[in-house]
Parts: sequence; C-alpha cells; structure tokens
Amino acid sequence: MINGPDGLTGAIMAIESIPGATVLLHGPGGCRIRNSLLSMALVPREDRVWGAYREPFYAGYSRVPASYIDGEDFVGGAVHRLEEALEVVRREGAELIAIIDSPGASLMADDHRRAMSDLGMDDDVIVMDGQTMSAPMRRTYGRTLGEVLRRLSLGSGPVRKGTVCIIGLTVLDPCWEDVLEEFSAYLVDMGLEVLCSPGAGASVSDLRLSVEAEYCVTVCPESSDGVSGFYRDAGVEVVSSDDAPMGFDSTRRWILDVAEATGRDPSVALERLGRREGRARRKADGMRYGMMRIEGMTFSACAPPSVLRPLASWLGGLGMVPVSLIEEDANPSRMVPADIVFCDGNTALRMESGRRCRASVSTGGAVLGSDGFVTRTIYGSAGAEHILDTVLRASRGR
Amino acid sequence: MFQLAVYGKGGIGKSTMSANISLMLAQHGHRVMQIGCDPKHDSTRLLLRGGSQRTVLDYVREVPEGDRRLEDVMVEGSGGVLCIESGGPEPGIGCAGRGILTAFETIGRLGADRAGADVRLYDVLGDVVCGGFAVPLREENADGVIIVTSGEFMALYAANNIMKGIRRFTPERPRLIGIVLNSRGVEGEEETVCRFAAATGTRVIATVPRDRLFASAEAAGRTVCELFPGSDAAKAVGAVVDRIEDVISGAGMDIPSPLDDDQLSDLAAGREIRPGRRNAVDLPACPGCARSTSRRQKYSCASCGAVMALARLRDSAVIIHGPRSCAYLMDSAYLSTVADLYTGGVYDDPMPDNIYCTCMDDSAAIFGGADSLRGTMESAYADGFREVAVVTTCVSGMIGDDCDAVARGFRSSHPDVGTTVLSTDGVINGDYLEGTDAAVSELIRSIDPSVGPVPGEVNLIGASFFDLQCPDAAAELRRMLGVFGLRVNCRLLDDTTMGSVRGFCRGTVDILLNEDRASDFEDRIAARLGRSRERVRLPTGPYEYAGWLRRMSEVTGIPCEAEEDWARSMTSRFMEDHRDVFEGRRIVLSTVIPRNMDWLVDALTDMGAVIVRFGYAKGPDERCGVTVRYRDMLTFDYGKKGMSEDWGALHPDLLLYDLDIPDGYPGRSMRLSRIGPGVVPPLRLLGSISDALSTGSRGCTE
Repeated sequence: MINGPDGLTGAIMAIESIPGATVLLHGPGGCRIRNSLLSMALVPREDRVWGAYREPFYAGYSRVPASYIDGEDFVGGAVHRLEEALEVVRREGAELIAIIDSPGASLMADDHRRAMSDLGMDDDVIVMDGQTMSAPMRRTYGRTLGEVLRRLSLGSGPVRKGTVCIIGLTVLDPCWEDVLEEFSAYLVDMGLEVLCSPGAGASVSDLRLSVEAEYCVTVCPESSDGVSGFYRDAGVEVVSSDDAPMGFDSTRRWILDVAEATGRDPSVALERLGRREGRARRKADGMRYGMMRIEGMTFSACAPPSVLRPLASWLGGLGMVPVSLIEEDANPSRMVPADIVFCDGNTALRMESGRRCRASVSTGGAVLGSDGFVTRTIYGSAGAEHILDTVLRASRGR
Repeated sequence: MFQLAVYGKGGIGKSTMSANISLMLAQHGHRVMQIGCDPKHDSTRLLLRGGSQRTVLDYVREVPEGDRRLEDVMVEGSGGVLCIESGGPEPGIGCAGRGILTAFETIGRLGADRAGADVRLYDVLGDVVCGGFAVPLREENADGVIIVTSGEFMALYAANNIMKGIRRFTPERPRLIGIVLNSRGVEGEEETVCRFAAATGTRVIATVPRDRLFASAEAAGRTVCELFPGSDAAKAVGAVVDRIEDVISGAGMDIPSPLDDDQLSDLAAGREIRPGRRNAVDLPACPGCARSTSRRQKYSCASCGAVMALARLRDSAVIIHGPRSCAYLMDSAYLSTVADLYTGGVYDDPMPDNIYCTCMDDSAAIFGGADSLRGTMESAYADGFREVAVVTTCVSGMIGDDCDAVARGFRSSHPDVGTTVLSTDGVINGDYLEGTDAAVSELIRSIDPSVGPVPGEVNLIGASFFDLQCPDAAAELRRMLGVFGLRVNCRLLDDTTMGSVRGFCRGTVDILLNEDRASDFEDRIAARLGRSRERVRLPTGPYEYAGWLRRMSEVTGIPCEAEEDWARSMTSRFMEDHRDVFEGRRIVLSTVIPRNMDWLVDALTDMGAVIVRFGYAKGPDERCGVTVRYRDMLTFDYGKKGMSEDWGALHPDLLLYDLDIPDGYPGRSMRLSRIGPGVVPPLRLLGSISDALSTGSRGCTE
C-alpha cells in the first residue's frame, strides 16, 4: 500500500513551517509524536532541545503540543483539556497558535472557540476548521497556509517592484532548504529579490511582508492550492507552470517562464543551470558504459501530476521504461515493482526493504532516521543529479 | 443576518413548526433559508410540496470538491424560502453528528452566506446528544433558540437538556427566544409547560393547538400557514413569528436556568419545584476529567501497538481501519524500527508489504466505513493474503463500525481466509503496550493445542527482539542452536508467520529472551494450553552461556562439552588480554531498557573494574528487569541529572548508557546498543568498552 502522509500531517506541517507559529493538536498522543519529530527534524529552530519540555501537553518534545485526549474524552468532550493545553502553550510565547483537530477529535465537535474565549485568547489563536481526514497532503498544506494568510488579515500594501515570493514548496519536500537555495539563486540571477517562501520557512513577519511582492513563483502547483488564490486576490501576480521544475529541461523551462512573466533576462540563471547540466553530461560521458546500463530500466512513480509529467518525459528520454504512473492520493493504490520507484519516503523505504525495487527516490514525506546529510531533492539541478546518481547506482549488476 | 435554531425532542413537531415559521417570515418580507439538520432529511418537505431534495452529505459523497455548487443543494420552496437538507447516514451506522459539522463546513464553503438570506433557520434533530448536534447551537451559528415541547415528561426532559447546551456555550448571553408548546392533549399540559418555563427563567411564546388541519396540510405536502392561513394553528405560528421579529428588532431574550433531576421530578409529579441544589449546567461533562493532567497521558495508541505486533506476521495482512494518517504515522514508526533489519541482512526474506489502510475520510466517518473495510479486505485477498487482521482506530471506534460483522461476511465468501478483529479503537482502549498485549493475546488464543512437538524445533519468545536484530547476533543464535541441532519454529513476536503461531506447540522448548515480558507471554501461553512448557532463558555473556549449555544438554540429550571448552577458553583468553585495561577503572552503568545486565556487571568486576553507579531510569515500584542478582546496587530514578552530578562527584572513567546522556556530557561515554546472545557478541561489546577505556575516545556499539 502507499502509506504516505495525508491532510493531517499536511495541515500540521504547514503551520510548523512558520517559525514563531505553533500547532496545538487537539487529539491523542498517538497522532502527535511522529508529527512532533517531523517538525523538529525538518524546520530549523532554536528550541530543539530533546527532553527539555517536561510540561504537560509537551511530554518532552518541543513541537506540536497536544491535548492528549483519551477514551473518556471522546465520550465526555475535551474542551477542558484544550483550555489547559492552551494555557500551557500560551506561556511558550508563540506568535501564532493554530488548533488542529485529530481525525478522532474532529468527530467530537468540541467548541474550540469557547476554550479560546474563556481564556481571552480569541484574537491570538486560529482554529483550522477544514477536513484533514485522508485528505491530500499537498492540497491541505496549501489550503492551511492560505487560511493562515487570510486570518492574518494582510492588506495589500504598496507593491515592491522586482520582488518575488516562492510558493508551492513544502517542508515535507525532501531537502527543501537546498531547493530554496537553488531557486532563489536563479531568481537573484534574474535581478529579482526573494522576499520569502510562504510554507517553506517564512515567518509571521515574512508573511505580512509577502503581500508586497510583485510576483509569486510556484515550484509545485499542487502544493500551492489556497496560497496562489490568496496572493491573486491580494493583487500579486502568480507565475505557475504546469510542470514542476524537475530534471534539467523542466528547470530550464521554469526559469524561462519566470523570466517571461517578469520581463527579466534569464541568461545568467540559464548559465548557472547550464554549468551544472554540462558537468553532469561530462560525467555521464565519462561513464559511458555505465550509463548504457540505464537503458531499459523500469520505473514506477506516484507523485503529483506536475511531477509525473516531466519525470516520465525525462526518464523516457534516457531510455527508461515507465511501468506505472500513479497520481498521488489516488486511493486505494499500490506501487508497481520496478527497478526504480519514485514515491513518498515511507513507501519508498518499504519498496526497498521488500526488494520490490533496486532503488527509490523520495518525492516527499520524510522518513525519520533515513534522512541522511546528502541533498536528495527531486527539484532543480540538484534533484536531477540525485535522480541520475540513484538510477546509475541501481543499474550496477544489470 | 439573524440565525435561529429550532430544537426539541424527536417527533415533537419541529420540522412542521420550522416550515410554518419560515414561510410566515417569508410572507412578512424576509428572505429565509431553512436548513434541515436531521439525517432523515424531511425538514423542508412541506415547503417543497411534499417533495424531497438532494442532501448536502449525499452531494459531498458523489461530487468532487472542485465541481460543487451551492445551487445543487439549495432549492427555492414556497414563499421563496431557500431550502437545504444536511442529510446523514442510515440509522445505526456512521456518525450523524460529524455529518452536521461537514454539512455546515460545506455550505459555508459553497457561499451560503452570500445567498441573500436575512434569516437562517436551523431545524435540528432531537436532543443535544453530542457535540455535532450542538453545532447549530453554538454562538456563531445561533443568535436565538426556540425550543418546541409538549407537556410530556420526556419532551420537557429534552427541553431541559437543550437549555443546558445553551448555558454551556454562552453562560451569560441571553439567547433563548422562548418555548413553543405543541399540544398533545395531555391533561394539565399548558400548566405544566408554563411551570417549567417559569422555573427555568423563560417564557411560553405560543401554544399550538392540537389540530387536524396539520395532518390535512401535511397530506397535501403544504404548511398550515399556506393552506389555512386564518386557522388557530396559523395564528399560533404568527405569535412565534411576532416574537422572532421582536427579537430581530432588539427585544430581549432569556438566559435559561435548567433544572436538576430532583426539580424535574417535582415538575413531573405536579409538586412545587424545590430550589435547585446547584445549577445543573455547572457540572463538568465528566467530573473525573475536571483536570486532565491528573489522568495518565497516553503517548501512543493501542492501535499502533497492535499494528506493530501483527505486521510481524509475514503471511498476514494488517488492515488499519481508519484515516490515512493512522497508516502513515504507524507505518513510519514501524519502518523506522524494522526496515533496516530487512536491508541489513538480519532476515533472509524481504519485508512483506502487508500494512493496508481503509483510508477513512469524512464521508466514511459520516456514513460508516463498512464498505471501505470490505473493499480493503478484498484487496488483501487479491494480493494473496489468506490471513487478515483488522485493527480499529479512534474514528472507526467512535462511529461504531461493526467490523466483526464485516469479517464474518468476508469469511463466508472466502472460507479459506482466517480473520482477526482487534477493537483497539486508537487511544480509546489503551496505549501502545496495551495494543501490543491485545495483539499477542489474540495470537496466543490462536495457538492450536492439539499440535504435537517436533524434535529439534524450538520457539523464541519475547516482546522485543532488539538484541537479536543484527547479523552478528543472528549468526550467534544460529551457532548456539546448531550445537544441539535445533531450528526455530516460531518467533513470538518477531518476523514469523501465522502458520507457525498456530503450530506453536511443534516447538519442544520455549527460549525466553533477555527481558521480563517474555515470562509474561510464556505464562499466558501456559494458561491457554492448560499446561506449562519447557522453558529456557536465552543467555547473554559467558557465565550464563555455560549454564545454558548444560540445561540444553539435559533437554536435548546432546552432549556439549566441546562447546563448553571452546567458550571457556575464549572467555579466559579475552579476560587475560584485557584485564589490565579494566583494572581499577571506574564505570557508571546507566540503563533504561529493562534487560538483564547481570552478565555485564559480572564481566566488568571480574576484570577488575569498579562499578561506581548502577542506575536505572525507573522507580523501585516498577517491575525491574535490569538485574536479578544486583538489585541492592541499583539507584532508581537515575537519569541525565544523576549522570551529570556523578561526573563531578564520582569521576568515572566511562559512562555506559543505553538510551540517552546529558547534552555536552564532558566525560567518556559509550552507548550500549544491541548486545546479542551467547558469547561472541558480548565479548565483542566488552572489547569495544576496552577500546573506549584505552583510547579515551567516545565510542558506540551497534
């Protein structure tokens, strides 16, 4: 089975992607702990002190405090727990607190607003009302972020010419900080100033500033649902391609699309990309016989359509054969064994451990303990190199 | 926009009253939207000439989100009233309360606020039975509330509960418009309801006569106000509408004071109503829950424990009956524990792809998840699994899906399949360990006592196979068993099969792993079989190994002198080679994992080291599996603080720990990870300790 993250993790991590914001999960500890660890691992913060948070509702971990509801609460309601937890979380001094219900808690229909009102916190807390239960992770991520942007009541300010925000990148995307670095460099090469990247490390004050951007440029359109609409409403021009920038060709197309939409010169950015691509080509030439083994290798993928299209096109161009292309969140679904699989981190690890592939590439949804230190993204030139490297290594012994 | 909720006991006439109120308000020039909040979706029938309309929840189930439009679920009825029905599940399945929430969220998202209504009326099912049905009562959804009741006791009881709901949401804001008495012809009815209204601090705003005109109008699919506008019944509705319009214009509403049980008894008996002992609404929902921190917090859930256990059966599919997030979070935990073992050469076979999920979504939570469970069981069957275990989660537990019935149905169509249903219900029925225990109990129940022993076969028993889960340890175990010509039948509970669990009794001896819960499992197996089985504890270190060899020799009748000699000489050689490194060195031993460390204490002290502290992270009241013979050495509740203090006070040469140390611990430290059985892995560990002591570098065993 494909057991990747769903809307619950999407919603939680959208909030946790914002330094200064915190999720209060209204739910049991079981829904909390992995999300807490994910947040601690994926988002750089000052407060990553293991075991230091001994307060109730934190239970040793600094991120994603929870109300720890249990069986009795499911019957009797748990507003009292929420109130107690809110009091504790308030003491931590977050700029923004967002309450998210676990799937079970969402059936109880606790009145969060009463808890906030009793504590006089009506203006300090956002309640995320949307349905997260088995909802698509990327879409929920984007919508949650869009909801935060709306609740922050950002008025459209004066447009700062030549500025840009990067949207459609999530902290659940592998090595998102590296992706941000690479694409920011392309934008700077085009003479654009990157204000922030909502959903990928932008703080509350960054988000307030973001409505002054002249453009928003999109990495993965499926992850920007809700965000792009907000910025369009705020008068910011949103630049988005059908295909995500993965593989050298699509990354080049991305640069050209941005340049065209913003009226900028893409030559320096293209040169930067060209250097990486040229290096990859030289290496490939040097490994001629190794690269020949790639031809005929099979691959299967489960990813958003914007990733599937360029992936299939690029790998097809290398002589690889697609055996299955599944749109992410298709349900129910199972990965088809192949030489290389592209899917969420959990499923990728499961495919490898089950020897149903020679190698795997994670397209999102980190697996704790398997992160490593090398850049293993799928986007941009770094992503192209990582994919080529994985394919090449997997071809050994063929 | 003024929002109005009409509540009352089921069958009391709320929908009839709501439709009449809506129509008359419309006739008075208001643009009215009526939203039926009852799964039987007949609230707006009288406004639609007896017809029905598509419900919001059916619509949500059938139409993808991007294609939905408000017009598809909103119909204009008599007087231009905008009619919406939330709908809901069939009786007895799913969660109608969650349905109300979803319907509200959906019509909100579809733009109901922009439909132009200046009055919105919610007609809500029966009593305030749960949080979902209280949603229309919330402050943001209801500016005013009307309660419909008769003089019958149960109707008044329901009315009293509704008042409690109003008070609970807004204790200080007047929101009760009043009571509508829908007469049933009970003796003294009007007086009873007036007394109730007076005692609860509100008013009867209209008395609707028991009138056959209602039946006539209903038969015609119309409202009384439409068909018989001059009737007494229509006049009574007029009184209600007048009061609503007064309220809209600023007239005051009431803060109800619901009665306690004694007061309700007085009311029912016709006695003078005694003063309330305390305000009934001030009681918390559950007195025991008044401070949640006073209750044990469950850090994980029983479902996760059960899944982690059952997934070890490689011939069994585990179906998580819950949202996809449960599968993601549990699979993450599972993979981080075991995936490396399959890629790292601990097991010969690849990891089975056996964790399934029904991916319950909002729709399944409302309408029940039996169909998706059935479908997922079929998928597992199609994938070749003939053993299927279903683990329930909070969501499936809360909505009360009858998973046993689904499993029975599945078995009847697939007689070749074994099924197990574990109703762990997420966190509702316990935490992680309780879930694991439930799974193990279920497996123990499936052991077939009629199976006879097969010479040469043994079982391995333990809650954690951690110490065996590396290639060196696995090789040592194979070597140890090979001395006696033994092979493993069942590993309870590690990578194994349901077939081997059923045939557990093929094993002639049960080998218990080095942790205390193994004995508990063995006791439960004995209880299941009605007899004790031959049991041996898996040895760690040279001293235990010598005893184990003798014991296994007795059991199997196979001599072991050669092996004894080999182990003895290997151990002696090691000690001679390393004694000078250990002699006089001061060691702090800190452990969290409940595995017996006596062998290590023996080995270290025999080589001349001094154990200046033997710390255990938990308290003395808990079952202490870390030592059998050295309990008097133990310091309980020993943690990072103790380690830091001991560094300054005891000046240890080395801190040996198994889970965590203080950040920035200044001294030498070494983590005791997997230890392994027998002689070779423990001696290798001692060799690493020797290296750490002699080189002064920080080390770590794996």
